[in-house]
Amino acid sequence: MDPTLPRAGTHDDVIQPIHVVVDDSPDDAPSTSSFETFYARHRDDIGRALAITLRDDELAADALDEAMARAYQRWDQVSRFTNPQGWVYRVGLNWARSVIRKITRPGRTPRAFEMVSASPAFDADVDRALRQLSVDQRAVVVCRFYIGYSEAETAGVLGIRPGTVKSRLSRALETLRSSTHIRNSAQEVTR
Amino acid sequence: MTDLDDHMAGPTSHRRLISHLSHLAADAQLRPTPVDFIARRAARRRRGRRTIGAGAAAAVVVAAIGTAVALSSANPSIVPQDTSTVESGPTLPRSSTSETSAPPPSIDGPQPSTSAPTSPSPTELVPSAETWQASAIDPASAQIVDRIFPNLGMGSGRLTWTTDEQSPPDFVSQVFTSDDGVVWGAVPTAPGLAVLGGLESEERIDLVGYAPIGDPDAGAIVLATSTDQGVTWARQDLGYDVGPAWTSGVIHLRFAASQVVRRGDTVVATIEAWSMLDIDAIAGAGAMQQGYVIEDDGLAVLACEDDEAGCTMGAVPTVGDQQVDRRISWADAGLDEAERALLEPEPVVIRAEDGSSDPAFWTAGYVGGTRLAATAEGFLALVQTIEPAPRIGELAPASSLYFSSDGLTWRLIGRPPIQSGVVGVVADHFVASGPDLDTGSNIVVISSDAEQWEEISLPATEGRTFTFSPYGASVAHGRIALLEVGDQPLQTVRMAKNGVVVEAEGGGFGDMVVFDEASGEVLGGWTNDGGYSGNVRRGEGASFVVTSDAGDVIAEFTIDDSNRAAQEQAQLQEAVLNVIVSDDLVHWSRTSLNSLTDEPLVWAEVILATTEGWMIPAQVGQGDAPDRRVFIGEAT
Repeated sequence: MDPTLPRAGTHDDVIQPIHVVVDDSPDDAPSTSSFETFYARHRDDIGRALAITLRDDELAADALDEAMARAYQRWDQVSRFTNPQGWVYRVGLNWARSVIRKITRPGRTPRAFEMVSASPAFDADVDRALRQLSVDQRAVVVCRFYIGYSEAETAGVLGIRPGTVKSRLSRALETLRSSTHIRNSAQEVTR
Repeated sequence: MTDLDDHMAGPTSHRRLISHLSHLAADAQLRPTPVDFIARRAARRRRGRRTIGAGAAAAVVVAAIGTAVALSSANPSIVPQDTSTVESGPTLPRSSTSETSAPPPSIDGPQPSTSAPTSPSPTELVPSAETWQASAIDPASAQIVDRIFPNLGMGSGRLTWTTDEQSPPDFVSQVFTSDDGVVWGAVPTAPGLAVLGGLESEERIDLVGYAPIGDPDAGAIVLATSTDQGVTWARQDLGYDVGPAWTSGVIHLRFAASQVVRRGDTVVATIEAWSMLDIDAIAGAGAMQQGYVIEDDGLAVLACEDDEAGCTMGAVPTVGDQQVDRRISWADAGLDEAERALLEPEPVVIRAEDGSSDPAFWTAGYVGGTRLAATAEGFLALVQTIEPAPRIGELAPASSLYFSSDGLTWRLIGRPPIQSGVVGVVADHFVASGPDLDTGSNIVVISSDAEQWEEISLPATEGRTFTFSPYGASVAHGRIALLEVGDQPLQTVRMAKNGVVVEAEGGGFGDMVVFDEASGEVLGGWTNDGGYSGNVRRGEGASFVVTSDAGDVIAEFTIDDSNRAAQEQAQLQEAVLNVIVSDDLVHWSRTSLNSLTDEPLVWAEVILATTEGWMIPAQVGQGDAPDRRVFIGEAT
């Protein structure tokens, strides 16, 4: 991927994804029906979890496609994992982190950072606080409070020790708690 | 109080955070990537690894189960068959039948054929005799179609469904049907049934599913039949008891899509299921991500590939003990024989059940998927098998074709040289379509006796190919129809400045070459694998810069430059979609579906047989809200 040029098929670009049909189907193609079922059922949810973790819809979509491709390659194996959705989420997250580390992706301002929503559901204060978190911290927060995983499940999905989950969550929530925006607005609501 | 409440300002903030996360998730804009785009991407990744000599071999961990359940009220016998050898094939069916029609069952069983295989080739392209039209989805059905669109290919003919695997009373199982693909409606479903698949006709609805966790009969595979369009249902427990392991907390059985066909009063259904082991509970947290394989003596947890992105399983492990992190014996794993049986890749393949107390099982090794067809003489089941059971580094997909005259007694009659796909009968030939064993390209193979197969030579495809999905082919009603789709790569984006020209492949997304405009001399570039090279490097505050050999900056390209060039040049290119049809395997017609709609075709990958012809759901248009179309074909 050329990091300096815009990604085709993104929300912000006029270019849309082009459907291309394989003429080079893998010679070890897995059971497509079960993968297609998985893809149809879980793609959206995994993608949205990645999007709010990465705060970059475009990167999330790239990561999701990459993770799904890896899952497809070894579907016989992945499908028997206890939590294949979690596996895909984690692979996508790790891939995105590697991309972030490799390149700065100049000029790419995550769409969510630019978002100024008129929707009543958009909580600008919480949003600012979330942006202060690292990707790793947000991943823990997303796993725990968006997806609803337990600490043990979060550890399994992210491939870290339960203690690491606890510490990252603690730091993340401390950041949120200490956020002036959160604290003040919460006090306003609750008093 | 949750831990979030402990850390934040209380329940109010708790709710605010969760609410905001939900809002962000709902607002995320994810492009709709077709599933076969994923397959293509996977294929490219594998080729890339091979190119660099990684020598990766697939580490196959298999516990998938393919189960076909045959139901009959007429024949009480259940005859297990030895599938170790290929038996003689049946005589050719005299004519094919619809999956949804109910022809009288034949009393003549298949007989061995001694005739030499005959080929109807060479093929000939003739003018299309079918009529096709494109229809917009009925506005009142749009919401339904948006929900079920991804699962259309899972249906049988007109029927499709969605399910949510949750515990009662919250789990939802919905079935939608359409006569024409334009107007859709929900079909009342049997209560307490997580639907896996079904078949609908004017006379009856047959649904196959399972009783979900929480139900007193949790795990039981059930056939529910309604003859009054879903008002009342007759349930038949098929007796498939997955056993206590299903709820042991360590092994989880999951069911996937099912295909249902009917011939007369006999319903045959496939049920794909696979078991998943909570390896973390046995081997510790993280083992799931590392992966594991089943060995004779126990479980082997694979070593973590600690690349820069962490233990991602990003590359397929190679064979060898160095790839195994640790082994756990069956005793240490605490799995008894029954539980191990669920894990071992020797599942039930075909199972007949008529209510008798001792159902028989018919196993034929690991099954990756099954496709059914009803013919005049009985049923065909094309089963993707992997024999022997794979271990680390082994992957040997193949297909086995089974025949049953009554849905109860099945026998292996041949091995089509494809990995998986669809099967049926056309012009007195067995016809199968799917990925070639060697190349992976979709092919059509035919046989007059199911033993000797040959690839049919299709009319010139002009560089096009067939859709990857097995649902991109239909063999029913004595006809074969194939989706033929042109590959439209993104075009190269070009920009120039100060006598330097930049060309980036893939709509500005692929490899980039930089050359001197006057001399054509290549100055450098960028590749996915190697990054910047030559006199091209990342610039400070710029996208990239091109320098002279002395290091002086000749041209500086900004993000705006790149954006502008890509947006101006890399426009959407329409996919080319044709459908080719034959009812004699000699004469083929090709119809362009692009001409049926004024809007650019984005994708289509499924062709479904209807009573009168075919239905092809498609996505057209540009922008964030592409439109749905349904191409309706009527056979003459």
